[in-house]
Amino acid sequence: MSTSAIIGMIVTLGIVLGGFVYFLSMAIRNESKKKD
Amino acid sequence: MSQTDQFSSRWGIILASLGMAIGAGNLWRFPRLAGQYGGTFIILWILFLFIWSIPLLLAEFSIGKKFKKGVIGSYAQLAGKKYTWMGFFITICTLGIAFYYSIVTAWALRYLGFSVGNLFSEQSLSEKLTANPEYLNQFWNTISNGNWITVGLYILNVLLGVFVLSKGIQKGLEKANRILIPSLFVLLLIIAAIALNMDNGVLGLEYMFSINWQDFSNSRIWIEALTQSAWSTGAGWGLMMTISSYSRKNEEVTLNTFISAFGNNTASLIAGMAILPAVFALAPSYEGAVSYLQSGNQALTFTIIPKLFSTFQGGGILSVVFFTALFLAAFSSLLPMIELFARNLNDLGLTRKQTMTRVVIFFIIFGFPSAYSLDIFTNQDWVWGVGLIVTGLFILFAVVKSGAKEFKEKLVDEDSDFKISTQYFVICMSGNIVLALFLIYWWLSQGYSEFPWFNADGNWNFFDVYSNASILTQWIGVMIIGFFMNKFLYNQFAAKK
Repeated sequence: MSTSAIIGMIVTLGIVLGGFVYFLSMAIRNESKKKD
Repeated sequence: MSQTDQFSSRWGIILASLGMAIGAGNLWRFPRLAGQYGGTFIILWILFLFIWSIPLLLAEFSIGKKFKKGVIGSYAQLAGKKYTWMGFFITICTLGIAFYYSIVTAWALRYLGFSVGNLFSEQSLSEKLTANPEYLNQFWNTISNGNWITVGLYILNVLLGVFVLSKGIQKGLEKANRILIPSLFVLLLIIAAIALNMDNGVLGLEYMFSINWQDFSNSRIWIEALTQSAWSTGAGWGLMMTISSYSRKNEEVTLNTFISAFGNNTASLIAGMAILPAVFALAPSYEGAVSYLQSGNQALTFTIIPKLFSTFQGGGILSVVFFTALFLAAFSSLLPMIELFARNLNDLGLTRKQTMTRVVIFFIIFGFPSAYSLDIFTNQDWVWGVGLIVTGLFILFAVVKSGAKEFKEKLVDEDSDFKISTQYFVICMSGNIVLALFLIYWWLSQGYSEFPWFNADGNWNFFDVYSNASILTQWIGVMIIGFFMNKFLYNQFAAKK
């Protein structure tokens, strides 16, 4: 794979998948705080 | 509203939003576009997630949560009595999509049956294709035109959807999505893992993520990226408005919307990372793979993928997994489309049972033409697919008219765990109105038909699948009906408590 494609893949996955995991974990954290 | 008419928890509404957003488009449209335009398309697709889709979804979520009615009633209460017909147009546009979209679930089931049949057949699909290279094309032509089994499966899927929804929000929609969405993600990950381990599979990734900077000057990629983001996330459909009308009183808005939007894009990326590597690994040559990717949605999904999967051992099982995933994705999106219709009927004071009976009748009558004729399916896909830009425009109009700043501060931020910038929201709302108007002009100016307005005989070209004449006649027809019924619609759908 070319360097630019690897960078493109890392950045894309970082934003999209990273964003999904980040927001999901924030929701999980907030829900558990509410239960406490 | 009784406790059972709302989601039981935050996870219930998040899964329903994900089910709404993740649909057949993630599996059959995104991989084709990502393959066709590569990394340039992906950058723009992410950009429009932030500029167009997320602000619109935030607006829809807030409207549904605030007014707790169907799309017509909620829209009228925000925009004002005079504009009820716009809510009617949004409803009809999404229903127009729902009527033909339910056929995709029938096709997915037919191919699932076809894949399972091939697993147990004495002659493998590969042998059948050697004996008759047109075998898959013939199968596709048979099932997509004038086929009563497809019509039967379409009706069965509608009945299944109605059966699930008739159990209510918690026991129906919420419970179904708890099974559908995790299963779908698992199946997509299985396909991606297998495809990425194939020889040359990595070529697909390279093709998908390579950026050609000159492509940024190609206006078509910008439009494709925006429409894919809007259609895939469900922004502007009224579906998020419907789902959030069943939200709990203090339901969070911003974070839930972000999870839905990013979850949808994650599913698209996984689907792209499954299909592109498979196409590059199994196509006879690099050029062959590229030409497959540019062959159109239906061809890629229903003729090329089964053909490619037939070329390696274990491909039959992968085909079963793929069409199961396609069915689950399509069905999870069909449920909120049916619910959108049901929610509006509920506002008329009908019971759930009465509502569902009417839903079945309407779907069978109005979906039948698309189930029976691929030309009608394609026309409806074109007319109401492009119509989503108009529905998005109407939602933007309602928010701006009511005061975008106040809307954001009072409705979006009210119960949100985290808040986005008000300036960003206001700029997106106003700026997107200009963008939507430009897009409508652009689509119409492209003239996809040879005769966009008048046919060779000089007559209004209504019966052409791709003509502007067909699009505008159907849009304006619905708007005129809505406009003349405006008072009636307001009294029936918005004024009643």
